[in-house]
Amino acid sequence: MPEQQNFEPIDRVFRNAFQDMSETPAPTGWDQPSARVWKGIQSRLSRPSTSSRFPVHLLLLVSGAVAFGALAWYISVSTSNLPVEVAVPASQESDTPSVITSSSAENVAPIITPKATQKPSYERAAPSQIEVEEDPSIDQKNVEPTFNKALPPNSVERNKQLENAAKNASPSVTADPDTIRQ
Amino acid sequence: MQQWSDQDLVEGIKNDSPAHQVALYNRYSVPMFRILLRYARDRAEAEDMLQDGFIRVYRDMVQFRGEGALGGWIRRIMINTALSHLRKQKDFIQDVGDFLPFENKIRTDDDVVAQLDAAHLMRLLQTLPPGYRAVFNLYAVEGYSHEEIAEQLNISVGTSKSQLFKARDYLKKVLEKHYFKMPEY
Repeated sequence: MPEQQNFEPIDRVFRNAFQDMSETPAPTGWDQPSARVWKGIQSRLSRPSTSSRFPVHLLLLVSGAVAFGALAWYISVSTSNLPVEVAVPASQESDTPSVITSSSAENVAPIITPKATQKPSYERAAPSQIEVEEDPSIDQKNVEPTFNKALPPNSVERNKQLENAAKNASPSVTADPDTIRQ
Repeated sequence: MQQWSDQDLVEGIKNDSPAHQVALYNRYSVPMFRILLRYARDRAEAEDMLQDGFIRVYRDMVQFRGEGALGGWIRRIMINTALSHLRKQKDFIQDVGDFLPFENKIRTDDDVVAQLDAAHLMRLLQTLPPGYRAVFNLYAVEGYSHEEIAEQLNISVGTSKSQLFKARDYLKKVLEKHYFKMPEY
């Protein structure tokens, strides 16, 4: 190969120059490393290795346990915050809107923005302002108070209540059969 | 300082003896630094390679079974360290342009080149691009084949041949230039 022959002297020059070097360092010191090399080696040798200083398997174990705990906590919190279904009375069921399956223009209700003068709901719901319509058929003066208090059974008050209720009730006919015959 | 044999150094370093570590460094730092100077672009890079190489030697000493010479084993570690340094460089394998051949002008007879000492040749090598430098060192000085070089540098055989050709061509040009400009060679 002509290329190989042409370049062979170049290869030989470099090979001979580097192989024939004496074992002793050159007087000029060009082939001697500076002191910083050994200092760097010393500092790196005296440094404990990462594996012996910090066990990786322990780190993985701890991080896995922490991740598992966080996941369990997240699941428990998310399940406890689920919305509770409230039973809607039958009278209110008709008020609830039906499910709209189509999005045609007829089904889309206009967005009504609340007026600025409208009071918030908590003000309107104040009990002092609630007006109750009175039933004219009921004599309001003679209405006896109902016993809202639940009395314990066999108590003195309870027994009195029962006696009064029996007296006020229409008397039942307890006639003797013999008198009826006469 | 106590003179230990290579076997003593190996056993001492396996036992983490600081005295044996120092002795090994004193024995092999200069010849290994000479090798690394051929692969590096300057002294600073060669010193970084040397430091990393000795750390590898101390760390991997437990794998040395004494089947070959300790010097040869350390030399292989140093060359591998140098190549891994070079592979990290972005412009490791590159073409710096073709030069016209100088076969008619170049003087490669022994009378001329005998005046070139190792220090001058080292500096010439350091002017090469890293890819040229690595392939030329591995092929022309260390004696590796193109297949082995391609495997070590993770390049194709064709790329190895191309880099070698351009390195030689470049060295011819530089040698001629230095020869005519610096007659003291």
